[in-house]
Amino acid sequence: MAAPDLADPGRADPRLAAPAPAPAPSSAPGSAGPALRRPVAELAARLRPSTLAGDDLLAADEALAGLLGGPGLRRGSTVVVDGAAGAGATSLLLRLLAAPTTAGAWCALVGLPTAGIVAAEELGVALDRLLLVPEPGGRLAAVVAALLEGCDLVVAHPGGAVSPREAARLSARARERRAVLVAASAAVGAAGVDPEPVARRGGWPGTADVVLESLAASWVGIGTGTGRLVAHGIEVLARHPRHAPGAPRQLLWLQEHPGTTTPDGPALDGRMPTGGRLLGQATG
Amino acid sequence: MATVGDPPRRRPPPGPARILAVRCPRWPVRSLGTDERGPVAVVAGGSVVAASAGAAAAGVRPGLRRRDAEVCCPDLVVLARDVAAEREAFEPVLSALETFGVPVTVRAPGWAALSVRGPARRHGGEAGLAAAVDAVLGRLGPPGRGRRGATGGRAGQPDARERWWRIGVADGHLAAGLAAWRRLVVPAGGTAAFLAPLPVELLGDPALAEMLRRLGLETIGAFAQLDQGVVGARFGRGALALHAVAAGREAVGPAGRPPQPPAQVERRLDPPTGQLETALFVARGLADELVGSLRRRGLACRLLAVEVELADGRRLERRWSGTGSASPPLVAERLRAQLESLGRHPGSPGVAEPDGAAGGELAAVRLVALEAVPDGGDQRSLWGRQRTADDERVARAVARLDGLLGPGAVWRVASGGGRGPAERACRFRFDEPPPGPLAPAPWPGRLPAPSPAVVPVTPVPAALVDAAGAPVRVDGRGALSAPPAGVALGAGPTRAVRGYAGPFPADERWWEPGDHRRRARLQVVVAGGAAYLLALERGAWSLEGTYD
Repeated sequence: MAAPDLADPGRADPRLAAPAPAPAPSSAPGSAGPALRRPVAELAARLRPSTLAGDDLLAADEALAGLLGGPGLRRGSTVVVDGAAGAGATSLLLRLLAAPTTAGAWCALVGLPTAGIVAAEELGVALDRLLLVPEPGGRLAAVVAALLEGCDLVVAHPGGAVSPREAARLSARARERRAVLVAASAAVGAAGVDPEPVARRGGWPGTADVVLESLAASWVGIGTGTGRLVAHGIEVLARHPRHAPGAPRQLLWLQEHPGTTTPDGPALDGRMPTGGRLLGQATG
Repeated sequence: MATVGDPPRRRPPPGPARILAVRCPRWPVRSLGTDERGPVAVVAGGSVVAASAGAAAAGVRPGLRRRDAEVCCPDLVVLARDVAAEREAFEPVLSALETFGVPVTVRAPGWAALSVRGPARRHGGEAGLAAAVDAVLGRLGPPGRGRRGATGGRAGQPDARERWWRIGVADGHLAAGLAAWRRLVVPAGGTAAFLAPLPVELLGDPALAEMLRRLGLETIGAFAQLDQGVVGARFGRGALALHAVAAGREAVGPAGRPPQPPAQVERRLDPPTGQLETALFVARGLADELVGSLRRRGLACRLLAVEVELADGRRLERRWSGTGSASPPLVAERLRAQLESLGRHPGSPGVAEPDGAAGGELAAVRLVALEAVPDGGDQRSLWGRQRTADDERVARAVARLDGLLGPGAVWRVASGGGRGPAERACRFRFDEPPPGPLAPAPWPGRLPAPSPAVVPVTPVPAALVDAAGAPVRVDGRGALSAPPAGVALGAGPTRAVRGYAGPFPADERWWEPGDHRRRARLQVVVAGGAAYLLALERGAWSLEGTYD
């Protein structure tokens, strides 16, 4: 099942299913100002194109809607996932795959041999819709291009092996095939053994529609010798280079943990949730 | 019925079918109607598929790369492979074989087979039948002459008296095909002895042959002597079928039985149609129906009979082997060939025109699955899900990647049993069936979610030190020797530990003396927010995963 709710936007549109608006009160035209304005608004609503650009979406997590500026990933777009080492970029990427795979879309991970499969499943990824090309050799661009023909979302981890020209060509291919290209920066899939080179190696050499950047991670549930890791919170900054000038910033909790609500503040406030200590704050 | 001790005389025990095979060597070259003595090679995918006798004398062999072949034989004429032309050129052979009154099975263009049992009685035994087939084919004339646009003019006329076919009889299709190579009639029950000295490569499975060679099993006979159970366990189901072939017992066993209840679909056309397009449309629909009904039973068709009936009562049944033989486009293609064959049958004037069955109107089409095998490797949809158009698209993309990176570069994953993050991830190749669902089992020592999002491919050594700089150990009772204060991963710098949890001991496979492992795991959060999963085994810490 390939996301039927997305395949037929016309039927899902409540505006089309709504009954015809009540006829405008033609009697006493001078006396009913607000009564006239209402049918005009309804008419305007009906005149809007039935298939909006925003309807052509690949499902995304509700928690990510604020960052993506809509309820899903726009098909044909290029998304860059970036971040500081150890700040949760890999988890953010896997979380991005959860909703599409659950909805039946095929996703592929290219050049990420270290991606944690168990973690992916725990973050909600339907593994039966996931393809892995862990070692694309030097042919990453060709592999990604071939996968964009068949998959709805392809994650490419270039690791410096993609030229700006190839990047532009892959973005164009994604646009043409109505697929989503996710370019993962060097921080994604890095074990964090040696943080220095990760920071130096460049990210995606092309343009992007959305850049998701994980700035810092915080953990709930672990103490010094007590508890265990329970919930992972990452602070994510979303930039939309083509559109909105503002960059929404959000603290995203990847696991549920009782007692705290997702704070909307720009930075972690250091409040201690129930049963544990909040550790490891870092600034982006 | 025979009783115990009384050798059955009338009715032979149910064994492999006696098969007569007709094979045309170098068919890709022959079917073009070129001169055998000229240096001609047919190339597909950059390597030689078949070479004429002239080219073979110069050292051009199938499998050679095109450039190397041209080095061997500088005046080589290289032609691209045309499978459609090969099929078309094979049509007269099939029509000739059908005069024997039994269904003809097409293994590939250039390789046809028919069951011996009925016709052998009419022609005075198997040798008599082979002679009769030989005579019938001798009246056909060289192949590929009638083909429009053939390259015959340049390469000269083929020799009309030359025998371009070979006939063999043995138990089962594969053995009969090999017997045909040597123009042999292998007596009933003698197939295993006939196959025994042949090299294993002739079984037609290069991967298996390579493996057997490495094990020192160089002949089919040596392979046949292996125990059946061992073969199944070690080499898989496909090898089991070949093992039966090697032992002269082809198609006896669970695979290849007719499906019970039988699977067949039929459509009568009223009024009969003379339009080829309509006939092909009907064939596609029927094939879809048959494949669907088999798939719901977890089966795939391996031998398909396509039966057509014309309005004037003429019928033609032909059999097609191979998994995927019932795929709708292939069935349509076969129906077209059969209608054209009926069109040029003796008794109807003229040759088949591409716009329809010239010999009459189509009254009925019937598809029968004669043999079905459990649908395992051919099916990539999981957990009972219907395979969708999306899946087909993905399968095509993966096939392209196989061409790009070599087969097996694309993996799929499932989560399995185990304790550490690496052992719990279970990888399998795209065309393999997924591992079965796991029975719920307790895994003492397994850490609950969240799991590390990054799992290093090769283990990374780690050093864990306490405030004084001394290495941190775990004692026999599972307690840390001191609170860890710093951690260094690989060759990296030592980073301050801001929090830790554990150690979580895991005592694995203590019941197996050789496999026993004791490990202790520790979750560590360092300054900056990064969290790591460390494991201690035999006194050494290593990085098992990064919570990134």
